[in-house]
Order: sequence, then structure tokens, then C-alpha cells
Amino acid sequence: MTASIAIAGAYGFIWTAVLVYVISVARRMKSVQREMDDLRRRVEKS
Amino acid sequence: MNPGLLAATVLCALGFLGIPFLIAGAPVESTMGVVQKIFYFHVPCAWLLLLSTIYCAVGSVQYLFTGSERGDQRAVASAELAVLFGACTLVSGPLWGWVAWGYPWTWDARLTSSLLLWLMMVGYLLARRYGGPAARKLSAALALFAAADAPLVYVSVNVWRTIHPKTTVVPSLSPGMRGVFWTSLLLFTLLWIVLFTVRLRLERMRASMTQLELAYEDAHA
Repeated sequence: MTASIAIAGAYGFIWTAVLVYVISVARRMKSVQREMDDLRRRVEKS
Repeated sequence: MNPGLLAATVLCALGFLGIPFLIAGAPVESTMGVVQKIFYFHVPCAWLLLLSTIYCAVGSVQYLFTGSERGDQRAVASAELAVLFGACTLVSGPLWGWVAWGYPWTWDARLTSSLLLWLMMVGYLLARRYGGPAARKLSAALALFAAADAPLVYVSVNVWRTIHPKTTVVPSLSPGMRGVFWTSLLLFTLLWIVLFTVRLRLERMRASMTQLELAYEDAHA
């Protein structure tokens, strides 16, 4: 393995991991927000 | 979005666009050559693994001994970040070792204790997800064991004979490297604060959701 491949691999892995994590948190937040909106609608109806 | 969080996010994004140029311009280390530059993001990731673990343990202690919900929320947010930055440490380190040592892994004190710490934090998340009714207490107890390992990870290179560079590397950096290193460390720490704040917000949304559901069920019982 060459130094430049190692550096690019390490840097690439870190940013991919952070990006995947940010997307995962955003999706979870959206899901909770949807559930909250749904519950609010049910409360308003009743 | 909170203005402080927005400013931190923008600063983070700008910083991380610029940091590769700073790293590329940093002096090349004489014995290891270009591969030493992995150090500028490997060390900040390792620091964030330790910070997240300690912060998770502080929140867990608050939850275990005072029943603090906020402590528990901080603990789970930190635990996820410990797993994230631990994975980054455990990938970037062996990539550096592959070039510098000729092999990616050896079972020495620093590498083994770091892997163990990361596995304990993965265990925290697994216990929390699949631990049943006592999941939160079980995972909080696990966080205390992880916190006991964190100082061992740090001192391992100074106490045991190990192939990993010692903690004296940072104070002995040349002035040209020092500036790049501290800038990178600061940016990674800022990124941690942004991610932690957002993840904590998710946990608080979940807590509000649970309360709303309980209130709704009570009203319709």
C-alpha cells in the first residue's frame, strides 16, 4: 500500500462515516417528527 | 435551527473544506514521510473516542444514581459518537500502520485497549437496543466499565512496551505541524459538538413523543 492511498482511504472513510451518521440521524428525526404530527392530529380529532 | 448551531455547522463545513489544503501544506515528517499526515485526523478521532466515552459515563452515572433522564439522553448521544469516532480511529490507525510498520495490526497494549473500548461502546448500544426493560440501566453500567478503560488507552503507550507512538509526539511536533494539528483537533471537536447537539435533540424529541403517547393513552383509557 502506498502512503497516498492510505491517506485518501483514511480521510475518505472518516467523511463517509460522518456523512452516513448525519443521514441516519436526519432520517430518525424525520420519523419521530412524523409520528408526533400524527399523534397531534389524533389528539385534535378526539 | 438554533443560530449558534447553524454558525458552528457553517464554521465546521468551511473548516473541513480548508483543512485538506492545510494538511497538504504541512511539513513532511523526515522518518515516516507523507503517511505521517494521517496523524492530523487519526489523533482527533481518537481524542473524540475518549471524550465521548467519558461524557457517556458522566451521563450514565447521573442516570444510575439520580435517575436523571437528561443524563441518560446525553449518555446515549455520546455513545453513538464514541462508536462513530472509534471506527474512524480503528480504520485510520491500521492504514497508517500498514505503510509505516508494514502491517496494519498487532495485539499491543494501545491497539488492543482501543479496540476493547470501541467494542464496549458497541456493547452499550446493543444492550440499549436489545436489553429489554432494564436496557437503560444495563447500558449505563457498561458505560462505567468503558470509562475505566479510557485512561488505560491513553497511558498504555507510556506504561507498556508498545510499537505505537507515545503521547510525547504531540508536544514534540515542529511549529509547522503544531498549527495544523491543533486546527484539525479544534475542527473535529467543533464537529463533535454539532453532532452531539443534533443527536441530543433527537433523543429529546423521542422523550417528548413518549410523553405525548402516554398522555394520549391516559386520556382514552
